[in-house]
Amino acid sequence: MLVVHANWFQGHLHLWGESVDRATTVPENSGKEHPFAASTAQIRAAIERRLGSLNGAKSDTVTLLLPHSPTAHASSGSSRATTLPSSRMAGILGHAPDDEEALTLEACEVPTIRLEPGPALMFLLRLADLEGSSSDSLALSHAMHWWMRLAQFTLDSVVDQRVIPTVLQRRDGSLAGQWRPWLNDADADAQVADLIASMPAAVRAVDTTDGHAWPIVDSFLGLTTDALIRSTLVEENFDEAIEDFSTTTDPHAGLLSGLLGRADSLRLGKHPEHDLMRSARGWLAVLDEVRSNRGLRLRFDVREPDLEAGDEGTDAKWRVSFGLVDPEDPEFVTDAETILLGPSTRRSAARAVRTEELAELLLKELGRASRIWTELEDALEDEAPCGIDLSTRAVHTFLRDIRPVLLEAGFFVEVPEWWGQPTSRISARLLIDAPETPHEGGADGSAPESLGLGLQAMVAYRWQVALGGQSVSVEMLEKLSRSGSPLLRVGGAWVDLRPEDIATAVKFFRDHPGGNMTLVEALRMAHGIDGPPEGLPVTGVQATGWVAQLLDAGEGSSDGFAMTTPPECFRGTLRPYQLTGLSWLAFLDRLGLGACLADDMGLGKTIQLIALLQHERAERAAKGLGSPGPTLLIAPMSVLGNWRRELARFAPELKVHTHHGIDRPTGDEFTAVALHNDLIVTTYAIVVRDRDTIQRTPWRRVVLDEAQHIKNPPTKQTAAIRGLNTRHRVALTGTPVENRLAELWSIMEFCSPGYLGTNTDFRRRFAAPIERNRDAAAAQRLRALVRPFILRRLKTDPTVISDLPPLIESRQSIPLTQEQVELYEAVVADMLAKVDQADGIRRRGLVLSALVKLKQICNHPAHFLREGIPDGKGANGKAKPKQLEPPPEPDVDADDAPLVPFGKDALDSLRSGKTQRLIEMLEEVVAAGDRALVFTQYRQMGHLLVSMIRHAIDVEALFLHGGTPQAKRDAIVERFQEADGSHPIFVLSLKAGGVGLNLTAANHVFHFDRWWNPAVENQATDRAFRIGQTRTVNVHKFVCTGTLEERIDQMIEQKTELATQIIGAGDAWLTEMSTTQLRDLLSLRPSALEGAE
Amino acid sequence: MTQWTESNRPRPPENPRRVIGGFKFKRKEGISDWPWTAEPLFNAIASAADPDDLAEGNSYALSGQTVTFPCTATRVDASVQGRASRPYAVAMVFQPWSSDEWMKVVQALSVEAGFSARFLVGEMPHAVGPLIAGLGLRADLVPSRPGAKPSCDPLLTCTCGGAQPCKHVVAVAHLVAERIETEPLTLFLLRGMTPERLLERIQEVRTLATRGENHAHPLPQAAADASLELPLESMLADFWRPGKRLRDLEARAATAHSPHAILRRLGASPMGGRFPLVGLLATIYDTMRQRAMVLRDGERALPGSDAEEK
Repeated sequence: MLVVHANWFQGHLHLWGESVDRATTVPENSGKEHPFAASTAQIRAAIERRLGSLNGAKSDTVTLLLPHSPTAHASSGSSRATTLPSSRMAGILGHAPDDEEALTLEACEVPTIRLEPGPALMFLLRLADLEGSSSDSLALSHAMHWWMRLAQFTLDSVVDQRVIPTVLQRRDGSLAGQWRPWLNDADADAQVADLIASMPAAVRAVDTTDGHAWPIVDSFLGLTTDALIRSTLVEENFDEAIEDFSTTTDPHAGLLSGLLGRADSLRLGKHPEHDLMRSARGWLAVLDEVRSNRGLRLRFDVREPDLEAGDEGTDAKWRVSFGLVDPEDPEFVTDAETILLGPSTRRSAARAVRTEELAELLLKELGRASRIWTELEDALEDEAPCGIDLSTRAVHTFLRDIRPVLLEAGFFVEVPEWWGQPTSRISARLLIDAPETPHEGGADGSAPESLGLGLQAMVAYRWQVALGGQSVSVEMLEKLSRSGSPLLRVGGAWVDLRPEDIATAVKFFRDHPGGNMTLVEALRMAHGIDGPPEGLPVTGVQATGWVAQLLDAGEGSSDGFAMTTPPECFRGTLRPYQLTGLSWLAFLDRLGLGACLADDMGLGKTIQLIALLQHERAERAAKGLGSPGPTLLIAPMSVLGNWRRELARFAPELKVHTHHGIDRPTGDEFTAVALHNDLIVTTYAIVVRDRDTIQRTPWRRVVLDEAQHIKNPPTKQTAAIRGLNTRHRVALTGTPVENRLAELWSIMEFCSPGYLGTNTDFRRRFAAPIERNRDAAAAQRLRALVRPFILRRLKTDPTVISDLPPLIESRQSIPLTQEQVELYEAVVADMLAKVDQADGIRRRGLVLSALVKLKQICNHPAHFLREGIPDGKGANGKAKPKQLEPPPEPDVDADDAPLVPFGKDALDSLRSGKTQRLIEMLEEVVAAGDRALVFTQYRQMGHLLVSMIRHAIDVEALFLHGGTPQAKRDAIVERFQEADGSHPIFVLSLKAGGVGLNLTAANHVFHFDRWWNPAVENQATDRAFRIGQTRTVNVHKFVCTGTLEERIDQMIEQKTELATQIIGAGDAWLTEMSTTQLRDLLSLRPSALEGAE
Repeated sequence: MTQWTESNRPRPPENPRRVIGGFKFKRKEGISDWPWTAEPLFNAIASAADPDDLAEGNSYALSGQTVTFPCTATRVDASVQGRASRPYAVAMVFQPWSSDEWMKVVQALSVEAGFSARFLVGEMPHAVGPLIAGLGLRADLVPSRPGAKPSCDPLLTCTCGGAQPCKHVVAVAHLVAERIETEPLTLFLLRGMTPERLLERIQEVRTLATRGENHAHPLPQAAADASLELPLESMLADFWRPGKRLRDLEARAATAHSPHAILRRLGASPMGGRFPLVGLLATIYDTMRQRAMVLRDGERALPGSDAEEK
């Protein structure tokens, strides 16, 4: 694995890398060299494998200023400062975060591959194409991603023609031409400011620019833009254009002499350098005038003429009036009449001066605008230019051609509302006719839910011409086109009638009279995706019957579909939005359409699905029908316990079978089991392994929990899941799918196969425009397209928030892994064997230490085996489960031993059910832009979690433990609370949960291990749930099923007599138990084995 | 608006026609104690003039007979109302410095940062005189050889037709000397360059000397704001990660741009070349947009990108 970095140095992009191989084999820091910088051959090989040949790139070295640690990181014991790995590398290696106070900035040298500006731009653009497709050999640093953004900015500038030719003066005084982006307009300026503010410090780590951001950005944008444009101009021989002109006497040719060819030197005569520089500067300054006019801006107000009803307005007189506007407060307008013609009497001297100034400014601005809009010059001849009268034709030219340029130049142009709206142009509307319900077939009513043909259902359709919000006939269009006016009133509404639109429309509607097609075709067409209409905007779709209901569904609105009543056997209360969710699922199910329920984490997706199972059974029972058939639920192992728990709690009558474990049924035996149950629960891994068996069973429904697990490109797992034989598909996920396009496609491809087209098609049509070009229209089309099939409610939605209590507690029941089971059983057996022969203090000691060990095993095997602690099993060795360590220190918060990097095994979150689940949930927290507190009792576990989070999801978690000094505590808390949310995860290992800390930025609280004392846990929870908290706080308590954790949790929940002894007594009560009681309390129950195979 | 009241004073009948709102010589010290910037010119004209013309010119200056008095590059063109019905046109044409000479001046003045600072507040440091005198230019900073011959500096002319310096020229000389005293940078203007432009050019040379780069385009606000960044030393804890506002950047929607907007805003070039610059630029803008569109929206060739999937 190679982590690739890049720095811009003396006009070149230098790629360098950190190599895992070097990191593990060359721990020694030799001199000024970076200890595990990859060799140029390694970098070249890794990059070329992904991107193809790096033609012509030279090898080089660059000196960088990087963070160093005074203490040796490796066990070498050397005392000199050691170059630290980058955060990405540290995550991969499992290094714990360093104490930032001790870090120093030191120079060190890295081998690089050097790219010229042109190839650098192409390299970064190509790299951006690969984003999202993971690689085992190449990881990109944050800086790399930042460079990719900057490259995109260069490309966007050229596409948008926001570039200028400029002149640079070199150190020797000679002049050179350069193409560069024009950055001074407000939006480009703001974007550059954001780019600079988001630049990782590592980008500035080069020696030359003294670590300043602007020279780097300036040089990169200038040189890459110039390279891109120049290469095009050279290819097309643009320099021939000035061949017949003297570059020494004609300043235009002189300027171009450095812009068109390969060489950038201006070919000028003897001394005119300063002159050309001066005049070029004067010319470009014109673009920047708006900034010198801070304060007020010129505003044009286009006023619609008053016309009689029925007047088509082809000969109307329009008024464009002038005024000054405060850009900070666009409501504050002073019109030109007031400024130029206002009453001059009874005015204070100060106001007179002010008016004088305003008049001067107004005229100056008008002069500036007249360069863009030459018609203004006529108005300026007027003594008091207050406005200009335009014909309908002229106002159309103004609106269409002049206004956009005026806006870009910083003027304000107020236009009638209808201008620019799709409805004011000729557009196409799709009408879909459908019956109230998809053909009420099946006269015997035996299988009502099979009636919906889903996306393949045929619907009748026809197209309509829409203009000004109403439909018009083709004849009418042709009549309008004869008027020859580009602006016209149709039925009282102004329309923008472009001749090219009319021609397209007439042809289109002649060619497409209407007919029948499938729902999927109709919906794709309605959103302008497939087939017609050519060049016509589609302003929507109107439907009747069930299609109308479908289109109104989604987004949590319940207008489109009938609300169902909560199923009677549901043991609990569905919140209103959950009932909406249930009704929506049932509605799509009835139509045979797949659904993706993407509610925020904590809103209860599980119980909505459970209610759906109950609902369909109740419906069938009411009609005297039998079972609808089994539903298959596929979920990550870590949530199986949860499902079982919720099912048992809310729907105990459902017959549930967990398809898991070594002796799980196969073949016909499995089918029989499946048909005998309501719900079969299994994991993603098992579906792949037992694909033949599972695919043979006819499923009523397949549900994917944590559906973001079906990834792209297609894997065996994806193929196995898509191959399932089912009538209905539901995906559950808590991630914001609509913003993660690769996930969205995969999930939709599962729910509604084919709906979003092939993956390649989807990338071309949606992913690339949205991600690369931030194409708002494409994003809008995609949202509209998937809206009927995705229901995502946020905790912050007004409809939801009123239904939510301020605090939601949930218990995460988590199975142990096989490794955990073996360790757990060994420790219990070991203790029970010894405890019988001991008494008194020794017995108590044995019990206490066993207790600590069991809790650690539940956390993670590496915690128990003390991997990553020098006196433990060492960094990389995974201890054999049978070899039990001597009891670790019972004082849970005292392990102060310096940490060596955790090995890869220690960082494997899949070794523990808890860490696996925690990582999954934190991923959702981060994706949703939320923030979380993670409490653990153990400092070492805290360290492990921080490293694991960095390793698994590349997020730098903050960490606070009992040994953190007060001053640092405050700094950490502040960083967590900061508005920008750059540190969304906060791990705390504190007795009493750090009373006094105010962490209201968090809306998730994880209790990773338990105190067995609700008061202590509540104190911890209250860090987030206190005054100042405006959102619902979700509390997730982690409990390993079948273990002592679960049993003690139950005792506390049920407030047993024993529980009152437990609470507040620490662990002492356990030591008083008899061996039998201990065996009963500590031995694994069968449910613990769920995760084990 | 000009003040009117002062000029309503009654005058003797032999006096020239009264001028309303004319420029008046208001110097408290009268015509003595000139600063080094103004003395040579005034004294040379005063001593060359006939005593009567000097006295009358002086009274013209005091009573404001000069109607207009614009100082432009290398010349002063004044109109002075005498007894005739129409005012006389007075011109003083100064020797310009050639562009080579200006280059020397700019170079010399850019050596010391203090000069620019004084120029900025409108002052002429004493050291400038000897400094420029040492450059061996055709004409000194301070003009001192007025006369009616073309080689004179300034060349004096008046439409009254009298011997030079006539009383009208004398009157104007009062005002010019007064102007040079109050705005000494006028001397540069009289040699052909506005003080603003001179400052710019000095700045150009200084930039070149200190940072080694200079450019025709103005910098965006972001460039200035970027200097507020934290030093690397204080970013060690978050050295590798993106800074703040990454989300802002991601949330920023693309804005639409109209074709050739920049060119249309620029308008015609003021450089006065014959080559159709803006026309060619328009073609270039379209060509480069086409090429960039292909890069952005087309399938970028990725040789070898499948290698790893296999």
